Amino acid sequence: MTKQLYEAIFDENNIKWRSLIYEMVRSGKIDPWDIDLTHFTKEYMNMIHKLKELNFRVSGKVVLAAAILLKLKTNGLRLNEFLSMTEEEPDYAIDVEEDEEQFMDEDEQKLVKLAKHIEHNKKKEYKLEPNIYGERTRKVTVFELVGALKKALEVDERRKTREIEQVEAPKLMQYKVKMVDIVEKMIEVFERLSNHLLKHRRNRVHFSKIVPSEEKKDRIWTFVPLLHLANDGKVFLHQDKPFGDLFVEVKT
Amino acid sequence: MRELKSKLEAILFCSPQGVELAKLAKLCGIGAKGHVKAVLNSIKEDLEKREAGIKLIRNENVWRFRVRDEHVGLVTESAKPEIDKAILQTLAFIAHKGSARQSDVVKLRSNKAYDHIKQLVDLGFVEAKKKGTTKLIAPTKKFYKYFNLNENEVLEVEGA
Repeated sequence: MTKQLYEAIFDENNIKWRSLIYEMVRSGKIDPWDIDLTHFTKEYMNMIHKLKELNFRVSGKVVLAAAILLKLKTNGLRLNEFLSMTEEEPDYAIDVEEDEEQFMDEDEQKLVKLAKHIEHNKKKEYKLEPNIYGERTRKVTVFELVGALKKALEVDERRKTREIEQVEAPKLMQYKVKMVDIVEKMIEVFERLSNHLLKHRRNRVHFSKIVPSEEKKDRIWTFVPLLHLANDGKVFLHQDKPFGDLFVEVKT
Repeated sequence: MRELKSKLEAILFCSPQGVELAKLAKLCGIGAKGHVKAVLNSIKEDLEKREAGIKLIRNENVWRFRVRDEHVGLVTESAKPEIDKAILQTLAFIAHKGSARQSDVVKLRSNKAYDHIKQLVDLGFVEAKKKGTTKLIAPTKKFYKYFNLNENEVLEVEGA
């Protein structure tokens, strides 16, 4: 079973691996405490050595899988009872940013609280025992069901607003773009080029000679049509080295 | 019988998720499942007779202790709800719609809804019927009974 779990985690294309972990634990096919995380890490290292190129997707999956397994392991401890010891104690120095804490789920907040407690009471001896009683569950009330519906509808409302914003966003970003007819520009540059070559009775000319002015705009609107003309096979462009002189030749 | 009763109570006390009849029989070393079932029914009756704070319930073949409905309010802090928050939201949305296409549920509740629906079907709170390329998800009788709602009553949020 553990092998099947490893295969699902290390397989880049397996997207159901997370459900598989929960399903296997829920159905009792695996006990999280039977999974050796050290062995799991070694398996991962072996796989990394075999990889020929970096694949962050796999490493991200493995870190998340290890965290999930560790969390499932902690569920098997009497964490809630253990935490009750910390209830009446002063708030210890905060190691975790407050902003960070609001993004934690309930279990993570419990673990941070516990870590602070242990950090503050280093000399105290702790005895962790497996939770043989399991976690007590109770019936869900209809009020909780209505509360859950309220929450689900709020999420739906937020999603709809987000979708509307996404549709409207491009409108807000619209601005006028000056349209340029590239064919017209190509004819203009080709005529300028032909006239220059005829005048000087040459077949080849330096790019700078056919640019109307030194302005950046003029250089761009000479160069871009030339690229199109070269693409159409009307002219040849020669440049011996990168950023070197550019020569234009009319194809005869 | 008294010894078997005591053993069954101990096992069920330590297994909040419940234990199957066959497993209970095996753990107690009893071959006849019918005898174990009779003792379980006797425990159930005892608890009902003396109006105990807990009751023994059976869901298909799984037996477990549960806090009496009228005391649930007392244990909201000490006991976890038996349906996970995210799954409960998915269930609430289905109940609000009366019946909903799986694709609509997924659109609202993300891809995780596939797993939620599977668990809700396993728990018997919803049923999934094939409809074209998707499934039609609807609450079951068990759902209405569990939440003490009238059958086919549509769940609403006050003021919404």
